[in-house]
Amino acid sequence: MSEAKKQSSMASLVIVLAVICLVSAAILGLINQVTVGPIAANTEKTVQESLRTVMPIDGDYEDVTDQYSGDPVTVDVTGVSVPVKAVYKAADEGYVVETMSPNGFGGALDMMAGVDNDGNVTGIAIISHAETSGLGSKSTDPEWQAQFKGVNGTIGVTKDGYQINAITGSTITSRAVCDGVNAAIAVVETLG
Amino acid sequence: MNVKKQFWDGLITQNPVLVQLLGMCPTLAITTSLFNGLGMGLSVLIILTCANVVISALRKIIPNKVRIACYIVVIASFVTMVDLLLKAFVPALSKSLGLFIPLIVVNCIILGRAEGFASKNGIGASALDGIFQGFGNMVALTIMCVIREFLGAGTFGGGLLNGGKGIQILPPDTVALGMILPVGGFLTLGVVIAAVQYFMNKPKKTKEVAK
Repeated sequence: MSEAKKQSSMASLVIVLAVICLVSAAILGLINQVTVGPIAANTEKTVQESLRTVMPIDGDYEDVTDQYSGDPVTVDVTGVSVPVKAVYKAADEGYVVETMSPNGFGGALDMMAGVDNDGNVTGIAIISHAETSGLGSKSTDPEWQAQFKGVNGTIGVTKDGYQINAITGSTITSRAVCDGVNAAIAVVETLG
Repeated sequence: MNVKKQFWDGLITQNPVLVQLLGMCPTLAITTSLFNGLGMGLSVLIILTCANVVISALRKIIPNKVRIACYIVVIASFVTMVDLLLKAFVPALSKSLGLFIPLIVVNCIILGRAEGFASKNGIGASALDGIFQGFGNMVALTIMCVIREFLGAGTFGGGLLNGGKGIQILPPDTVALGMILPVGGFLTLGVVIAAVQYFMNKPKKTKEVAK
């Protein structure tokens, strides 16, 4: 059987490979058509649920990302430049800022922090991360996140002389979370 | 095809991770908690079985010279399909496995079995091969996970039991954090491979002595 295969002409190689690729592409296109709606809905749902966690209000959240200049925020504690992904206005209570804190152990942390009008943090949420399972992944633990509630001013880990107890064995992840919160506070200051 | 032999090949004598030494990269990277091991094992099992069946069905059409390219297209399509379907309809599972699914494209167990088995055997045998090899892979990953999680975090069943935290067995202060870092992966893998080799070779030695 391999004898016939070895002698197959250039044309047949191209045709077979092209047909396999075309069929795969067609199937994938179809699957994409079916799933694109539900995936967008799920992403939106995750965002809404996270907003409720970091700053619970009765009404809806308003996307006010346009009102912010879009510049990355440089955090004084670590000197890290944090890109701002989105800003939401939570009625008259304050703002929720979504940032991409770049210096996690496994890359950028997509996270949210709520800041009220007095500059106090109301809560944080990690939207997605690639931290080590069992170490940095503990940053999603609500018990650990609870200590951010009510803090203000400059946020940092106790090792650097600030108020947040870092996750055991994951100081880098903890610092990255603090960067995101500091950036959120700075963004809300500029918005007043 | 001898089904029983295929089963034992997949589980022990030709175990994809511990004997063929395929798919080392995900094995070292993800075996830090029980949930990760089972999740990755199950994803590989499903995709391996699907890919084996399709490649076996196409084995007489695919020209020898471009076979690897064809296999990769088939495998990558399945992985993307599973990824999209999970994201759309089982978002919870997708969130926890999201990191591993794209890794499966480059998991050489799947390409290895396509090249080594599915391209030479019938559809039924290839499907069984996918299931058994996938199961062997899952068992190997699970063993690694249990050992590393126990020594590195002092827990059992991380990500699954006790609300995702796992059951704490060792006090948290006494654990060796290094075991859930990459270095612990290499140490554990070495020890587990050595143990499997020891037990596989043991009966032969006793026979020789008896003679």
